[in-house]
Amino acid sequence: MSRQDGRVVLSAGMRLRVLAPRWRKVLHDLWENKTRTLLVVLSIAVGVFAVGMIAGTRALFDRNVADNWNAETPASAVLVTDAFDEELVQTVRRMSDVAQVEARKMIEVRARVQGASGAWSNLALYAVADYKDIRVEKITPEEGQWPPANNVVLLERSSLEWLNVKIGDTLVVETPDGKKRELRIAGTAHAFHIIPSALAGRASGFITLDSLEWLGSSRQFNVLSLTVSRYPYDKAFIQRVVDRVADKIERSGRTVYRKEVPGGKYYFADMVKTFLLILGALGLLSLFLSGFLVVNTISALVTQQVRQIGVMKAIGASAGQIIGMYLATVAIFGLLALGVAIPLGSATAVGLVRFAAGYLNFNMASYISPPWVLILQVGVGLIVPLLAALYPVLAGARLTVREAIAGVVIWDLRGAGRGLGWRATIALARLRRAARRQRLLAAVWHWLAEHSRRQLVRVPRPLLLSLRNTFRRKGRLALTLFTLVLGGAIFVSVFSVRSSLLATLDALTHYWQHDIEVTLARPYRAEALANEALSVPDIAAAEVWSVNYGFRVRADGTQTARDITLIGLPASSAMIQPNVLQGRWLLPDDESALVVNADVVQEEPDLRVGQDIVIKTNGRESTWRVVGIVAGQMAGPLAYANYPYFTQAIREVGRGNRLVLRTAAGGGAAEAAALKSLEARFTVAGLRLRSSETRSEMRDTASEQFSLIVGFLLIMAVLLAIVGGLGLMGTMSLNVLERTREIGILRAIGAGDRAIRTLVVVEGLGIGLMSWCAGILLALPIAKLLSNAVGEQFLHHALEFSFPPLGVGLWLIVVVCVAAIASWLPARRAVRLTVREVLTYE
Amino acid sequence: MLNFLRLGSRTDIAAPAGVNLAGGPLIELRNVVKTFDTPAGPFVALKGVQLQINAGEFVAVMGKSGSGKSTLVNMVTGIDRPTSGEVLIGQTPVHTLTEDQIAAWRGRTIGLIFQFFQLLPALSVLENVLLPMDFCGLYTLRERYERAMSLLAQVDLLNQADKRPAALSGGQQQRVAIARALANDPPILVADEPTGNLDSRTADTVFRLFERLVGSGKTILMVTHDPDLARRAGRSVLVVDGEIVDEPAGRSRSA
Repeated sequence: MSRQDGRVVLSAGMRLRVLAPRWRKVLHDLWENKTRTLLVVLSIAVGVFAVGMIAGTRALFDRNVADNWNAETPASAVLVTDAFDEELVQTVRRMSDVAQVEARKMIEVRARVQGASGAWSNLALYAVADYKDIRVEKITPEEGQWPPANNVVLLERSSLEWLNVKIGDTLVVETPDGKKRELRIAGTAHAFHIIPSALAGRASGFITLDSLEWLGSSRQFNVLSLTVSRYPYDKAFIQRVVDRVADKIERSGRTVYRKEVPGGKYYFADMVKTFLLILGALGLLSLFLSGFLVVNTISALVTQQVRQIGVMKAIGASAGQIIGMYLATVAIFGLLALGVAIPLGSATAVGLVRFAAGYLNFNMASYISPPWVLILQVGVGLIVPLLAALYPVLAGARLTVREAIAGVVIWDLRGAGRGLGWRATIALARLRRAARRQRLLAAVWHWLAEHSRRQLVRVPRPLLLSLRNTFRRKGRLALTLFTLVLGGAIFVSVFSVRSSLLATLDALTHYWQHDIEVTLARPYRAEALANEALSVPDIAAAEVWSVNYGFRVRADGTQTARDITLIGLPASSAMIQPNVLQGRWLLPDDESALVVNADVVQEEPDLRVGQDIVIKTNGRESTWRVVGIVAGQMAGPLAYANYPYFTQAIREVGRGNRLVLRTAAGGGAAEAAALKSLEARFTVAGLRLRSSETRSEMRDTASEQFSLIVGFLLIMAVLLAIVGGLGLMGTMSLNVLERTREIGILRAIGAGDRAIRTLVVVEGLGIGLMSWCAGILLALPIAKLLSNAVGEQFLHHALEFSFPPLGVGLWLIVVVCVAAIASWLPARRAVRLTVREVLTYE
Repeated sequence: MLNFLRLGSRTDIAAPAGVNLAGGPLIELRNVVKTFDTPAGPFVALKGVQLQINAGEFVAVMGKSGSGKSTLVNMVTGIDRPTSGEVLIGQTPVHTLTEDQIAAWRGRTIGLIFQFFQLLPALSVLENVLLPMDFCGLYTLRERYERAMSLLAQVDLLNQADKRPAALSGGQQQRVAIARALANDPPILVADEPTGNLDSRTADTVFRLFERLVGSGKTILMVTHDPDLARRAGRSVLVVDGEIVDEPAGRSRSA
């Protein structure tokens, strides 16, 4: 620019500078207060990230699982019956409301790698007539041969890692009748409807009908899967169709042993739904906390700029213009946060779904979250901060010029809530009440100061100043404490849920007092079984149980949707320590007494202790009286009856098909060794095993089922720790920023670096420790609620509540570290400033 | 050098809104009482003040700390409201306006100059001068820049236009503040101890600036502690304990 003849000539660049100065001020403020901008952006980003991660995970999870599920043509119902042939399949196919029918044979064998001397693993082998024409529960080839040739097996892909084998290896399988055959692993296939090996505790494979014969089994089918022609998601309708099909099968002289009606839902749908709801609640909480951080930071920002607001109003700015400027600032914060949180949230969602895909054995084809997730994040990233900022911005804009130039603090404004609506007024009143409560703490400070002055208590002066500073901004302190306390409470609660899950797992494994469980290929004489088992040196105790499947027949003739596993065991069994929720456990004299677990009650909510119910097993109906309800054991619906009466009812008197054993030494190695000796003994005695499981294996399988929820909860705990840490860091930075002039004065009168640093750090630690104490107290009820919710979903009863010192201690460490870092950084800034700089600070 | 006369007589600048100059004093305080609630009880800062100032007057307001002089000028600027009494500026009853109406009115009618300059540190010198025009929307974008540059040229700070206030000396900052106060071409300038933070030589420069502005038709109300500067103003008003003591109540002197 230049002056020509007294006129100012603008340069081209100047002419182009069209952005109004107030908007330039907004941008300058953002750019020049990078730390503050970063803090606010991170505060918002944490909330947006949590929402994006959870919504994205849910959307991607649902979409990918639905794709996998629908691609398989999922069964509306699955029935396990006596052997049947193609003729029955055709009969069922012709029934009304039945769309597709698929028959297969499933046998349970035990397998191990050729040449290995280790333990046997359980393996379910499926055979279908034509692998190229599977109509229901389709199987997708993955690697190697397809379809399977004779005398080879294609493993379900989740079994490969579980068995620790590779394509080309040979498995030695032992059939229920004791035959040993070698099956080469010719490839892998994917079957989403089969529960992954790690969760089921057994491997799965596919063979031909010829291979089945070669293994000594008949070519006849025993599993019937069907789809319904209408209302595929109507469980009641499907149940009616299944009852008709079961009736038809039973009229052909066959027994239906098991019925499953997924009702169009995949096997873990309910678990995932509840789990995502819990996760969603934690995500909302993160958002809520992030909103508080924004309120805190924006009110501090407005307070810091109060004088400038006054000047702007003095030179003509209206309240609307001031509000516009600061809300624009907040909107920019929101946009910046979106820039950080959206990609991060999406990437994390993809990572989590990929992890879940590996865990639950589904393919991940969709990686892009649907638009609603993006819209939700944008809404959250812009609307929540704007709402959070509304109060401090309105309060700041409504300051009179006199108040503003005098440098009034937003939270200390008397009557600032007037005209802002009752919500803001109530919020303010609450804050004031909180501040009044803090007068007690202020009184403590005065006491300390007074006694220190009289040298009754030796409290260093800088420490007193720190304590006093802590309570100077009561509104901000209240918000910071609120954020940290809630964050800490959830953090500790998450650890409590984790610990409760593990405690429940322990309780579950203690529920079953045996170390080894062996299922026999068919019922054997109980006495012979027990004697053979006890002749194995490592085995200290043995019990023979009789296990069968049955259905409850209701008064209207309908049956339970799922089969109930019926266990006949000695009433005084030493192998079970039941957790009786209602009624009582079995007594030796009991005849038709039945104890059901919580899963049965979940299926049949009308069941009460003292009620008589009809159970159908092996095609025969018998009446039982429910005498007790015990806790669920993640094993589905179970019912227990007194062994003598039960075996009489199922016409298997004196016989049993399950052997439960206790080893002398206990522990994984002893269990494996005892099982190996037992297998050798039984082979000699001609007793054939179908499957076996040791306590360690059972614990591993159950633990695997808990690991997903524990993993996700830990992610949330870390997220909440970050939110809390950011909150404290923000508060400390703002406190130091506001006290820059005061720090300058302290330095001018002789305070050294150490004194200044102590001043700031002690304040941060004080806030951290206060929040820790309150957080622990709040964690107790939250942890209990969360544990109950998780327990209800997984076990249909509350978890074994545990409140471990680990979470409490870890949060203390986190709080102390976060407080130290959060106050150390501003303290470092404070000690770097020269006296001149801080005294001229505006 | 400085050229305020030209600026004040520009014909392309719209007449300031909200000021009725037809007849009577430009500033009139009628029996103004201001009471503040303090922890020690009510404190009466102004006790029925009567004051009239005509257009083109240069009035110095003197008084000790706490005498009520700042409260007095706050009444004129609309920064504070009287507990009772009336404040008429160009016959506009300022005490009846809402906060937002006052903000718009003040932006067009009164240029404020503070002891500590109160420039916005995030904005450049030029942007600080542009800001009042931006808020009041009086000129086109091009006019705003031309006007801001002219004002800076006239306070001899054209070459500092793109600097931040922190890079300028106290005297330079106060000159920027004066340019900013003149941005919307207000008829009244109110300066609260404008030289209080300046050395005597710089203070003199600023004061001469005020004299020229008065010469160009502006009305200036200046709070000062300096008796020498007060003497150089056309008229001085002494405030003692919330009352004007050196001129009969209700009387005004011509400039």
